[in-house]
Amino acid sequence: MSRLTPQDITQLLLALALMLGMARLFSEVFTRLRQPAIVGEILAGIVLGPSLLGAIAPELMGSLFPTTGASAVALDTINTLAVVLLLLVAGMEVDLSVLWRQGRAALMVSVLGMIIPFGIGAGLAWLVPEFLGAGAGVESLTFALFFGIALSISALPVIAKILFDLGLFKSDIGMLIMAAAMFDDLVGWMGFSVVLGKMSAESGSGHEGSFGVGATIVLTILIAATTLTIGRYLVHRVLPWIQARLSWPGGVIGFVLVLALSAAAATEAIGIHAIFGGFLAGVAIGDSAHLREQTRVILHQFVANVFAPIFFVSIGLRVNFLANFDLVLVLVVLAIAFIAKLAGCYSGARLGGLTRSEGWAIGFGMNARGAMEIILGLLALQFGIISDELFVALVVLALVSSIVSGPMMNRFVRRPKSWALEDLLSLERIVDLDGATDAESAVALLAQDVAQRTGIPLAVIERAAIARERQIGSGIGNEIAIPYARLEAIEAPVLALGHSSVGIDFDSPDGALSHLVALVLTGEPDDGAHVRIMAQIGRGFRTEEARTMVYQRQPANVIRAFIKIQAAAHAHA
Amino acid sequence: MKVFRKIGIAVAVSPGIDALLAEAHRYASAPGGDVELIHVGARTPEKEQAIRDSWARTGSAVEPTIVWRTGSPADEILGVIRSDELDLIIAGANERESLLRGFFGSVARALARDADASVLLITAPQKPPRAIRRIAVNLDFDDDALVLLRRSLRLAARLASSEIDIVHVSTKFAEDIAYADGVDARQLETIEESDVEGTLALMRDYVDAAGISLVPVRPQMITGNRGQALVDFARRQNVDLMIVPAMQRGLMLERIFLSDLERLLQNIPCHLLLARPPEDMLEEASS
Repeated sequence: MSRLTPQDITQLLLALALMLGMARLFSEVFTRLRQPAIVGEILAGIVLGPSLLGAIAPELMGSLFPTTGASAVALDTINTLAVVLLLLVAGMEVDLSVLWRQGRAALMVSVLGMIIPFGIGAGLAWLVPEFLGAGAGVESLTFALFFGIALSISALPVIAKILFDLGLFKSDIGMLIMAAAMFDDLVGWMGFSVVLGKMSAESGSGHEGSFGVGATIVLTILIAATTLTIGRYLVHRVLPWIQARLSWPGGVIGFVLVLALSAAAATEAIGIHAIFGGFLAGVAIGDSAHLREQTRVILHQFVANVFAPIFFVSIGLRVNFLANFDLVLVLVVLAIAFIAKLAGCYSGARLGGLTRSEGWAIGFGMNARGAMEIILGLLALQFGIISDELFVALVVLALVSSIVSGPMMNRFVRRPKSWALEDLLSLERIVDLDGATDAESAVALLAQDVAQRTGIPLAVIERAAIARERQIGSGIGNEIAIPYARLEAIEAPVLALGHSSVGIDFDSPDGALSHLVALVLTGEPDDGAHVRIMAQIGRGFRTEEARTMVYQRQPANVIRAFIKIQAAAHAHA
Repeated sequence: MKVFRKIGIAVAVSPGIDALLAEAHRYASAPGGDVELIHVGARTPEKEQAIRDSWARTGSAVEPTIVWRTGSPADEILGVIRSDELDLIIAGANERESLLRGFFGSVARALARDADASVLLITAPQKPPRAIRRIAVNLDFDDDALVLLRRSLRLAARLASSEIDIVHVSTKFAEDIAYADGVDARQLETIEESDVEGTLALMRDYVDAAGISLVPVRPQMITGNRGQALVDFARRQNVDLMIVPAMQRGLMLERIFLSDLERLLQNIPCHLLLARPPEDMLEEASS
């Protein structure tokens, strides 16, 4: 058995130390600039590689990062391991229950956000493969499929980081983007595995005895289906046993790695790339509700802080970014990628019932490509599907889209506003509800008041508020009822206050009649504004003292001041 | 204080009918409420008498209508829900189903997935019925959350429950990914603290907006995969009835990559009410 010499080992360890050190340094700088760490890691590689160090001191670079010999092979092995593990954690991030929860809008965004970029990318690549940087001798169909997938993929980790920085990670729009990006990743990686399998079979670069094109595609689908059904079920069953019986976290981490590496070996052996096995194992493992969050985080951090930097720095070591930087190609790729992704996601969002500004925010969010684009590009480069120039353009696309995504999203995203009850109350005109005989006639009287103040047709307000009232009575107890409705025509919440001295049955939970009735109207969508306003009304008029002030028509300023003090007391509590 | 206007109960003439009706009639005894007992199978005088006798043994003052259908049980019951505009359908359900039956569907699970009404699945029905002491309501802040909460508080009062947990499940999906990919742990901690604070404040707003409750209310925030976290919560806290918002119609794919609903149906932890707001009124209003 051939062995690494002490000199090889020294060279390898030094190279790894340099790569990790520079990656950490650059990623810290970029993190402080609120940019994804990956941008710094790739720049570290460009500094250490042929683009900069190689241009200034080629011998030094050659001795630090040799391209031949045992240490080069060892580094290449570590890189293969890194990319398998990166795909393992990418697979573990897939949680389709998030997609189902977001419903039709997320499905439309993910499907159109894939199909349109794929169609535009594949179509252009089919028409002008040479211009777009197809590898020498590569089949037009293979290149078209690759380019289509490259334009349709998103980068979940970068998107998560951007949403986190913008404080949107728990918002509806944030969860929708995450869900749609996850689905795109799942479909994109499966599609790309088929392309790699096809490529491998055509070129004969697979193992001896590897299968033909048709058989490889069938096998790819078969493996995916088996892993995602039976494999997933078995993992779900075995995980509790492992977590209960083996040491923690060593036992479960060992299990995950054994499974991922075995799956990667299996897919590599049949001529599909090892990453596919890693990714599928990740999906099967990550889907189990038995997998503890902490296990997930430990694995993520292990890969993100050790293997990811090595992988991304090595990209800069392989390719001369300056020599292969083709400005025209870069600009064309950027333009096609941005337009296609924005068009796809925007139309998906609109068809899913979202507003224009939400559509743009989602489009820019989904446009962040980051690590996934680079991994995809590198594999395509290794398989000869694309030229060095296109690879550089794809790396630039990944970096630019990741950098501009956050600021552009921020321009379009709508944030919930808060409304203070004392500012909304129109205490100067308390509607007399003594003429009302039941809840619906009381709502109609209040609707008249709102119609006069806003100019919105009375029938529209009445119909919407009464429909809500019929859903469930709006009495909340303590003599208070709060009927409400949401109308597209409303820009800022409107509140009408009424008083009935005899009391009206609004089906209150305490069975009492309501004397104080507040009709709340908010816009559509209202981001929960109606709930916040109703809660303030409930709290503000909880005491008999506060209600009596309204019943006795005390001066508006006095009531406002009273409510304000009560609200402050609640906030303090 | 009506919670449901028109209720259907899926019945089979079997030894379990007394227990199911004993459990179910408590939801159907609102004054003025309509109750339909739906049986899919051939109509015979013996069966009719058995169903009527069983209902009489519940002691309910409501006079039910018996609806007879023949054909596929799930399809027929779904048809009755639509044609008779039921608000709630009640059916008995096993806590677990075999893998294949769960996948291709039992009647109860088919109703849970496809009914145009709220669905109450009663697991392990007992006679006399199990007291519904503890109710958990899943609050997810969507458009219908307030209606769901109000109905739940009223139902809790009707069932004379001793406490109601308002549970919000916060998924840590985005945080985990962002944390793993470079968000500073201290920054994460600060953001998470303010997120918890904000979520609890919003939950309190919902509780205050829903109105006074005759049953003590406890807002709680838990984390995890929503479906699984609710199952675990119900088990850990010995919940008797779990109320969750009815989820959107599912795709077949959701039975492979489990949605929240499918996770709940895979292992129903207690009586499960999938509550759907009465949409027809809003649709009428908008037309």
